[in-house]
Amino acid sequence: MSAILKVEKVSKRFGGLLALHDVDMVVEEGSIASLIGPNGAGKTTLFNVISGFYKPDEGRVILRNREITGLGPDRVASLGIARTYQNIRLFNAMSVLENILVGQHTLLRSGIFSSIVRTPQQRREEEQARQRAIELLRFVGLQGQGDATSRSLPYGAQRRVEIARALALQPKLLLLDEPAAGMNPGETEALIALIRRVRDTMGITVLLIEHDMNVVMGISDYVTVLDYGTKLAEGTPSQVRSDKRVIEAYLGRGVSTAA
Amino acid sequence: MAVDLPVERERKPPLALAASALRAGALAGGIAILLIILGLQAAMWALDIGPLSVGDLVLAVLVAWMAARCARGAGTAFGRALVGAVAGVTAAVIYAAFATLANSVNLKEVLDNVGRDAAPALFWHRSAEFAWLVAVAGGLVLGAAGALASYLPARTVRRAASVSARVGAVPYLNMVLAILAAVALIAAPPFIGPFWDQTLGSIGIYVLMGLGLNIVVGFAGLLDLGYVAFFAIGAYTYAFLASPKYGLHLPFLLALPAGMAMACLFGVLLGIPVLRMRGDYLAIVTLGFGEIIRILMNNLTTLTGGPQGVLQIESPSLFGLSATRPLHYYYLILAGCLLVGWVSYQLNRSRIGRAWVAMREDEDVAAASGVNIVRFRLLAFATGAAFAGMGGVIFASRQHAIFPSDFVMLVSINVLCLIIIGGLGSIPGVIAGSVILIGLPEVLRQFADFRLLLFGALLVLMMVARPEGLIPSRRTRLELEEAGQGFGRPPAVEEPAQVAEVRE
Repeated sequence: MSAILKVEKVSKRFGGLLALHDVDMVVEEGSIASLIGPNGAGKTTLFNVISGFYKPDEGRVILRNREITGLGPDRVASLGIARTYQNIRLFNAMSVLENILVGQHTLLRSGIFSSIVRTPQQRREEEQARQRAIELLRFVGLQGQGDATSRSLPYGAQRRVEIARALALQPKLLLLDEPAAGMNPGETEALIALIRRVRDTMGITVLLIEHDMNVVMGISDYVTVLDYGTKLAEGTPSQVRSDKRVIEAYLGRGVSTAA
Repeated sequence: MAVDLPVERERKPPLALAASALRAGALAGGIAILLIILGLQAAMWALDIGPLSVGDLVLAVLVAWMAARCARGAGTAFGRALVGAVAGVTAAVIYAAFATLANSVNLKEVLDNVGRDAAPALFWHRSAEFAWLVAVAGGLVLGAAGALASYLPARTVRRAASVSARVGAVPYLNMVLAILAAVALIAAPPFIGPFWDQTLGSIGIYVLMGLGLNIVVGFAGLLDLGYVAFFAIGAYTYAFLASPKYGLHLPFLLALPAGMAMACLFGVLLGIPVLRMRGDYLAIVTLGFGEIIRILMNNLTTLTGGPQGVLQIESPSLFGLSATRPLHYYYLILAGCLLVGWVSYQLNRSRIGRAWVAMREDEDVAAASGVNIVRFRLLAFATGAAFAGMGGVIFASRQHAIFPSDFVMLVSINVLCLIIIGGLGSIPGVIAGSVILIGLPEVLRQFADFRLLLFGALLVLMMVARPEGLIPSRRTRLELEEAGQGFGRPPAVEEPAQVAEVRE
């Protein structure tokens, strides 16, 4: 197995706050990896660095031998990293299908001229894009919901639309920021199944931030723990679960010794 | 279909009813006085219909409506009529008192529109006693009648109002209407005379600009307040290329693309420095840009002719036919509108339109979906500017003379107003907005003084009654409909079925 994503010595400062400090992380191709840590540990900041929203002050981000440090989010997206957001961010003025079509933006080629005259090639491309969007909806379990607006859907379904929009990019790596947040146990179970299918049938590597330990421990091949912007621990779920420093970070000092 | 439940209105105690009747009457009287002071009433009095003037009619409707509003709280028909009558008489007394004041003291010094010359009209040019009698009797009858009219169930009223919505649901009706409208637009103008041709042409030029600004503001969500700059650049480019100013006499078919290309270029040039700006900041910078262009045209006297403008601009000629009459320009403008409308429509439903709307909705997420924000922002500015440039070229060729004063900020504001009133992002909305904001003032010349006032009132009214615009775009409609139904998190009851579906 080779690494699809390497984060090397990444630091990010916001004024006096050191949000990330010398963080190293490796995500193996074809794995499901998790990033965990208490609130404010810098998990979302790291996601923003990887997806190009923030430029790291130091360090490098490498996607399959290609350095992507400092590239803009649209470049990073076109190189194959798609993501979702902690609080759902769908385009509310668009139908569910259109949201997914926007996700396919980088796959479509037609420019201004072919869009105006609607060349046969452009029509074919649009039709194919539509078909792909419908397939993706089916994949995430929302068949027939294409014409709905995102806001009319239940919360769990909105999360799945966001995942479908990210998958529409045909990414190599999918970043999920707290996908199970606010879900009930039934929804969470369905989400776990969906993430597995993303990896198994589409061959997309998944890196996720999650607080729900059932999700993290249930599907992760590898877990990285952040605390106060530094990497605290990493390893398989069972290794991380028994790591003293991790327990301390989550439950406070003294608990581990008492146990 | 949701069933309308009859809303039982709260019965108010007599004292509260009396208070609300007095308040409604005072409000109606106050509005009447305001209309008179502003001079709007005088302008409407000038329009006679039979024995009454439009002004009287407006006052009558106002009183009846206010009476109907306040009378709903009363239980019996007699009660309602009584409450309405009190409101009507209150309004009448206020009106008559004001009219008496205007007739006894010359208010000309402070209130220009109710001087000694105008005051007798408030008494309908009769005696004070007669006027008081007519006003009070009128108030009494109108108030009572209005109050009884409030018995019309709200449902009937609403049904009448929603007829248009249901007409839209009839299959093919939209298409038939569109074809009829198209036939009328093409076939009618030769028979309606130069005034109407000219008016339709003016509307058309604003449609061109509106469609362009609709791309920038409506689709891409970039608030541009200096849009007139591109209109000016198109107009001046044509003026330089087809007038004795520089001795150039380019044919129209060459000068038109040149004007559009120039406007396009400036669209990009403005777009680059404001790439990182959003919202209010963008609006301020573009506002400045619009003024800069006008001031440059005004002050670069040797280059642009300064305040004297550029004169003797040539008429467009196409295929050996030269445009001379308003009718010819009308067809030229119609062709331009069709072209620009078609381009807007095609862009809106393409990958490019989707990228613009995504950018408007959430720029970060659009970028993370692969949309190159820089490129699509500049594309929006350039496309919008090109449309305005086309409008400018046609405007210059139609006016034969252009001056910096043709390109004031008010033009930008007008275009923005018309797309907001029509419905942001909606192509039919732009047309509706142009007809109302540009066409109506041309037809109702006697209200020219009140144009801005009525604009303001109309905008406020629209924001309250129909914020999505007259003909909202499909996307806006979707958004508002859904917001009305499923706000926030729907009940979790719906969930298990879907989970089961996923597991299969």
